[in-house]
Amino acid sequence: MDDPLICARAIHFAATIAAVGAIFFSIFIAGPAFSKVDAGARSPTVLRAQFAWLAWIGLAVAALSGAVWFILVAQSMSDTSFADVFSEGALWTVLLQTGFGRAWLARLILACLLAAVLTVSFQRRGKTPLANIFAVVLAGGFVGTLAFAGHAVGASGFEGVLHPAADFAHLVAAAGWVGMLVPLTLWLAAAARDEALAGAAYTVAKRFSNVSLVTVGVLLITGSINALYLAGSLFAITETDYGRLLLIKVALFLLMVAVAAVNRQVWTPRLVQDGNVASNREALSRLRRNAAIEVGFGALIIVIVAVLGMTPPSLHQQAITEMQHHSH
Amino acid sequence: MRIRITLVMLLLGAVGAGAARAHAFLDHASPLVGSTVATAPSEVALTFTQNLEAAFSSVQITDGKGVRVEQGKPQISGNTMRVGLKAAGPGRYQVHWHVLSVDTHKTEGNFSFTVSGP
Repeated sequence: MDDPLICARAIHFAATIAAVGAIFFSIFIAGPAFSKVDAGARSPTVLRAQFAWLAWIGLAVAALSGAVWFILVAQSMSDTSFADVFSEGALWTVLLQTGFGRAWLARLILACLLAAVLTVSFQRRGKTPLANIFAVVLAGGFVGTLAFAGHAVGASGFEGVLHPAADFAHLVAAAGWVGMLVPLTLWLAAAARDEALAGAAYTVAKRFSNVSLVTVGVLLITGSINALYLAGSLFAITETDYGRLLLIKVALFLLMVAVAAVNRQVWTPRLVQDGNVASNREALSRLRRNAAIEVGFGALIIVIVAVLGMTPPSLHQQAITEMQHHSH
Repeated sequence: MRIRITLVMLLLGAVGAGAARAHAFLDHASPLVGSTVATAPSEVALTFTQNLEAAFSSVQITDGKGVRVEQGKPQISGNTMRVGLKAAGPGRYQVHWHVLSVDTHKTEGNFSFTVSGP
């Protein structure tokens, strides 16, 4: 049954995106904003610790769910029982002799390196630029290489290069948007309680919104490339499970974009209305609520992605249908 | 609100529906699927729609009596799998393939070809 694999995939996607999002947020958004907060304030220390925990827990859960995912795939590949997959050397064969195994090996190495760099980066409060650069590159690599565990691989020629590259960028952008929403919500919640943070809330909301513009653009372009290769035709989108799931995913994505647009256009500008404390508080509260709603939509999208990876892509399914008709 | 409920229901329905697996399937073969050839080929070549994992892809070829006639392990390169044939006489041959595509999905299938002459 595919259900345990779908669960492992969903948890792994969510944990990876959460961990990478926390790292991206700490470096790109929180770092610059903290410099505008009074040095004596206690909240930045608390928030830094929260982001670090988010990254560490995300990485730990990603490691665990990644191991379960790997074992389930190895079991399926080698047609053995759960017990035999450990005893008959199937794990090694999958790890060393298949593309999926080599991708997992590379991701394990990336995760270990990332953990080492994070230890330095978090200890020095993000003030070591070199460690930050390494953390961003390794975190991006860790989430992006998930592309090599899915439908993006398998083709030859130009598609064999463009499709995995587009999927890699898609995953990094997803972590840069959906993954950063959780630490953003934490920040906004803390800012509602602490005046020192509230002063930097506009910087945070604006920076996040600007980064989102870029990531949403990347998601649209790379998502279209993926859809072109996997869904292909109108028939394939409307008449297959894969296509219908993809439509739901796109609908959820558009809802997220709509909520994000309201945050950008309506509530973020209200944060700079000096002197109007009530208006600021309302804006903070609305921003936080909307960010939490976006997190909910993002989680649903991740579940769909976990199922999509297990569903035959529309074009494959369409071709099979045509073959069956042909042979009758 | 109704839209959201509909979406969630659609999502849950889709998740519950389960998922079939079929990713690398046979694109073409030599000898051609279902064909009749004059002389026995020295090898059978199968080309798939996706690249294959050599460690978990195999092919069995049997003659009319069910005796295995493939020779050695199949050679796999990209999306093509080739296997040699032992000296084979006229008759109908069954090819059963079982492959793993690089996107981790398994597929299998059968076809036959007929050798009409020596």
